[in-house]
Amino acid sequence: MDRGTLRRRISSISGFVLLILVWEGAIRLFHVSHYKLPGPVDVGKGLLELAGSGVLLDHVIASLFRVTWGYFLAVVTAVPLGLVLGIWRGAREVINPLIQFLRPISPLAWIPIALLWLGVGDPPAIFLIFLSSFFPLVVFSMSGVESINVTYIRVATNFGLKGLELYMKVIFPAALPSIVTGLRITLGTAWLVIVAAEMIAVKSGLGYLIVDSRNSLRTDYVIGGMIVIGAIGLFLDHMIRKLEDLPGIRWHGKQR
Amino acid sequence: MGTGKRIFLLAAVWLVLITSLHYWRNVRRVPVDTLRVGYLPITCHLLVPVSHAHLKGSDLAFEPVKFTSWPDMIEALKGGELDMTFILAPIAITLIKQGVPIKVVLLGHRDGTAVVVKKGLTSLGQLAGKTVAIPIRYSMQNLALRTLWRQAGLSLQELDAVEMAPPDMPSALASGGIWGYIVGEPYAAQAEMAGTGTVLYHMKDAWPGFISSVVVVNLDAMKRKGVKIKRLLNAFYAEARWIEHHRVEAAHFAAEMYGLPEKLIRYVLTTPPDRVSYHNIMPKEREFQFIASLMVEEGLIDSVPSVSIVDTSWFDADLVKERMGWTEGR
Repeated sequence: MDRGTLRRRISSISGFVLLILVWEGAIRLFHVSHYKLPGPVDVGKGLLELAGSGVLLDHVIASLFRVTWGYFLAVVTAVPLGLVLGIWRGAREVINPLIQFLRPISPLAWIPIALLWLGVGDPPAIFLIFLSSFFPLVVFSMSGVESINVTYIRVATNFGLKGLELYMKVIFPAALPSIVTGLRITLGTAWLVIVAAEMIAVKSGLGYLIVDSRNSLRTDYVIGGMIVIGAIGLFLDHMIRKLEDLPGIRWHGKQR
Repeated sequence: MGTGKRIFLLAAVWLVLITSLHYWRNVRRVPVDTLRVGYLPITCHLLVPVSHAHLKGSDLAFEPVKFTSWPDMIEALKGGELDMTFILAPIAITLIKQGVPIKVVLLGHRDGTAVVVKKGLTSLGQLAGKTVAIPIRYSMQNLALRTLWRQAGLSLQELDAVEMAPPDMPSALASGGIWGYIVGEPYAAQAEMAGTGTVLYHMKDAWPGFISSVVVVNLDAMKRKGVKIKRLLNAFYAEARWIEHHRVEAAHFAAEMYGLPEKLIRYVLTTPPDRVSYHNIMPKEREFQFIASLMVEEGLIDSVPSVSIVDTSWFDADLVKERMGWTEGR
């Protein structure tokens, strides 16, 4: 680890230390009662209790399971659709307004419909996460194709590339940087929606942990759940950023 | 493209891994004919934890489905996901009016609701113009508050009622966000125990025989699993009798399943003991016609349902006796 990295690590950790100090300090200074805001020590103890009994791990697994399915389903449907729409202008002119119309509707608005159509359990939660990622991903991959330098495509067609081959060899790689940015942003949104998605009639997951702890008057577990969600979100972002830095993805130079 | 293949493979491995972990740790397999019963963690639905604890492992074992809000439960019920559920009486009546195939078959309990006010307040009149919380418009709590309000000679225009999730009410009262609330237990007892609120009215005094939640049966499920549903309902009826004589043990089961402090539930069930009643939980058509007419008066529905609301044809005295013997003999 060189000096620069070390310094950056220390800086980012000190932010968290500061937060904990302010938190504890505020509680002592203003005599905040335990049920309104438990202190860092109480929350830490609560988290250890949850982790020790194995409950926390089960909730994390459940949440990651739902996000994985919702997100993957969105990726395998939205990216191809975006690529097709990016090239096929006629279809784009018909479908794009629809997508722009559906995109601003919060996945939360779909909760009643999700429950009516898909019942109770994992499917409605997965569906909500799918929705949160699907529309933005279509837009990202569509605009990725639209922004391809026309010369690339002309050159490729001059070389006789057509159909699927043109897609795989030129269009997809050229649109990839935009797609990957989309993947990163939508993974964040998918994780953001998990709490809301798990507030509806499931019996596991970090969102459920928060709602259930709220009902059973355990504010320390609520905050503990929030901390775990934040930590996993940070980790997911870190992983997907690594994807962005892969050489194959920076096809025509780093654009960030 | 080497990188592409690697990413794809990694994603596939992750998908398989997380799916199998989830199914191993979180998905419990239940026999297909297991009855699904919806509930919320409140003492009005106490029959669920008690019966669940007693019937576990027997042929009448059922799957309790916990909800955290009424709307979610309503959608699950409409979607046919629940064979029966504990639900607020006015919601049940509204659904019947909408043509959802359900009937009211049993009551959750009687009384068990209270009007709580800030410490120091002594009459409903002091709440005029102040914010008061109700659980949801379609609740007996709302209807009761409005009735009591009118009986106290107050104008409804001075009633500033907001909908609030019951678990939030005691802390909202403590922080000064609201001046009072009407709610089912244990959220009245909670403010009383914390010393931040006083019970102004117990429903046992203000509205004896008060109904909050009822059990409704999905009539489509009744066609398919009628025999089992009838047996479970008779078992519920027997369990209610058991609760009356074993309040402390009942509090233990509820605390365990609801994740609430046992002290709180025990307080609700014993201080005073008639705070909640599990006697006389057979619904009567007459009572529900009255509630429906009250709802029409308050503008919640436009007319009383044209079909019957209550169905108690499942009741079988011999079966109840048998179930009671079974529960006592465990």
